Amino acid sequence: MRPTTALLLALVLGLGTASSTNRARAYCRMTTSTTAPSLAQPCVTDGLPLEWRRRCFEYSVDVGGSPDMDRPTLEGIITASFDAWLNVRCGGVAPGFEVRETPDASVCREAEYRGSGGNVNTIAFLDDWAAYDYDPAAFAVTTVWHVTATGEILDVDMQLNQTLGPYGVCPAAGCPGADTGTAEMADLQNIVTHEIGHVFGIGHSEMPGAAMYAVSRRGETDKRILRTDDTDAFCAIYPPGSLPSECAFPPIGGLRLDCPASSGGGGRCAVSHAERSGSLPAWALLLGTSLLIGRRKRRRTRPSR
Amino acid sequence: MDLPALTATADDVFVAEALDTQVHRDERNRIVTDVRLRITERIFGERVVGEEVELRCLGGSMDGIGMRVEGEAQMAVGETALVFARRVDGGWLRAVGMSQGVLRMHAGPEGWMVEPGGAGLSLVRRGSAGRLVPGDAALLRVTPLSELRRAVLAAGAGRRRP
Repeated sequence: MRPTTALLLALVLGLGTASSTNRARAYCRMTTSTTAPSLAQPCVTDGLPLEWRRRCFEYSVDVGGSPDMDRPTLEGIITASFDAWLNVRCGGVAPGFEVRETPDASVCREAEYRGSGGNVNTIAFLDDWAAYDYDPAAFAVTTVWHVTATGEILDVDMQLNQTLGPYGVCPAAGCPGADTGTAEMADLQNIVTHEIGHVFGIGHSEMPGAAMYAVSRRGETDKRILRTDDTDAFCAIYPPGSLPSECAFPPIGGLRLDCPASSGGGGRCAVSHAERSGSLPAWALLLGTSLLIGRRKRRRTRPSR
Repeated sequence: MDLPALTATADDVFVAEALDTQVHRDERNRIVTDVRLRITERIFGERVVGEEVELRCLGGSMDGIGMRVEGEAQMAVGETALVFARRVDGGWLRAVGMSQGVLRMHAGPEGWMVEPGGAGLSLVRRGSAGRLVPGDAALLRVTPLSELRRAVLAAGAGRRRP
């Protein structure tokens, strides 16, 4: 890519915040429609909006984790990313989600949903990204499975592109080089916070600076913090009182940490360190969803109160 | 992605019409939509006019279950688009930069017009004075195909023979 590509910038956080009281809505909900956005309709509103109809769910982090960090660090980043959303208050009241990590890690890295036999909402790092046909410039893909007739979200899987690593924890203001997209490291929380927006059924925002803005500079940390546009979307989908009071964490059909239905080789139990290109894109798209498995760990439940 | 970046990553750039779509499960059990395209103009790469190719798009709906990947390219039957495609091992094509690689077209008084892609993203970059300005999208406005054709050829000229 030519040097100017490295200069691709999302708006700085301050602008998104300062303008939030005096701007049109920019967020977009994911829907059941397969219509592509267009100039006339950049946010597709055809079809039914995607949303959870349950207030509790659990996810699993793939047993292979990421070669860039130890498992406690990885789990802590994912927890913090979920907390950004779970701490949202809508008119001072939380929507009521409770999200937890499963006690055991997943051993399936595929994005899939099975109508019977159990499922897992997996978070997995893929060092063979190209084998999944995903765009090489994408940091992550989140796949959202849903009921076509209702828009109810059934399962979500977040897959992260290990070949665009290393991933880590940047200083709050971003890693050195983030302004020009030349940072050595990509901030994992920045990416996962965006992807979790998709987990909740939120599409890409046209608002630069929002967590759900689709473009991310390498090393930026802007998306760790939700902006008004992001919280507006979350509250519009899940106004307090809209979720049922019942709480059941296991996925539809029960928890199953492997994925035998796939022939894609996702059932392997180890992830080797990615061999990286010497000329990684300085930026990458943030996209969709998917998740998978691991080893026994402390059970955590994080009510959104 | 700007136009040079799209072109640099693409194996083929062409104008095509979507003939039909087929939704199915791929070898990874994902729901995918294969869009059969007929190429009406080759701009860059090895495709020829009249050739039919398959563009694979992640997502779709089968048996009452839907799968969505935000930002993924889509094409509806009958639609004409300028496509920046990369070849993958399975023999089908994938759009470069996901939805950024499929630019819808419509007929205008001066011929085919190409619409900005990328799911309506408003990309910005920092200008010389430090201010954020629009930029780095392949297209920022509706552009005549004739103009875009020249730009794509210029962008790809140094990479390989068009």
